[in-house]
Amino acid sequence: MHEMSIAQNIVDIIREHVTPDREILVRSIKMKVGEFSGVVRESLEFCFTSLIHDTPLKKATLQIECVPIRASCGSCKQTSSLEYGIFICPQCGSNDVKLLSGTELQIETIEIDE
Amino acid sequence: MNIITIERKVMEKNDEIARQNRALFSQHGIFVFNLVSSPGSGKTSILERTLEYLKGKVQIAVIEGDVQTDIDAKRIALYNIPVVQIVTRGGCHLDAQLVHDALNNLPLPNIKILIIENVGNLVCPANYDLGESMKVVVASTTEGDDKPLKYPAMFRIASALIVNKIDLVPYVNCDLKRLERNALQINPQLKIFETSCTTNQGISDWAEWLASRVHQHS
Repeated sequence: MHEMSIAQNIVDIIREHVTPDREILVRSIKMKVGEFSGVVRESLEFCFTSLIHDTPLKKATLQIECVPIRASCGSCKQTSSLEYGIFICPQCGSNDVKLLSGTELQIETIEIDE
Repeated sequence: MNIITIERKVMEKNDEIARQNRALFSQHGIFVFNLVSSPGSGKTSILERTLEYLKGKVQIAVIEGDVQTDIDAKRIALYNIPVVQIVTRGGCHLDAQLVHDALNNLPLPNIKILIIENVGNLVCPANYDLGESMKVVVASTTEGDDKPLKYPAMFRIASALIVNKIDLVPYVNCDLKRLERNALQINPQLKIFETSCTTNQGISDWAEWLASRVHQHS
């Protein structure tokens, strides 16, 4: 259950960009979360909501964009989407695949109602 | 509505401290293993057998990570090597800051190998870079042969796999070949060792390989 410490990181980062008097105006935090980031979206949302409850940030919500797992194949040189945890090129069956995306865990924007 | 674009990695704070740890290890020429597994796979027993085998051959220190108690640190301290216990009090993984703090209690100039035994957990520690040179994952035969498929992130990110408790294969529902095939499907680069801490089978292969990392490193 490392989503709680990750949610705390998100709150800390927001506070680095928003002065205390404007925290109540924060409406949404846009995030990119890769399918292979090891983060469960529902847990992260739950932990975030728990952390900001009864704080000036309480009106903020996470807007999570899930980033699919994509990989390039060293064998057939094609780029494909991979299923979670299956590191095999769907085009040629090779296991020589390199992830191009899917491990993201990033805050993109903070939306403030002002 | 005012939109602030920040594009910041959520793990950047941990990653920055991990970079500092890595620089410190590099400065002292220390090769660092981050030992990960589910609880009860035998990480501490493997460490004990490794320390017995490498006694007097290479300077090793250990950082023990547990949710509670210093039981493991006390076991390791019997080998008269530097050991620090980190108690996370509920935390399910070690992070770079915890390791950074622990380093204050280790004689870094006198260490060639540091082994960090992470909290037993095949999920969360995969997300936290500690500044290690490599992750080594332990899977024991009593856990069955499907763990690599169930916890792919950890097996994907590790450089080596120790299959422990191989003496129990006749008694448990675990096909050793299938376990290793599953692990290699997730990560074809995995270096695999088979060990038993009861019979000492395979310990020398693993320990020699571990010690040889240092020579390659320095």
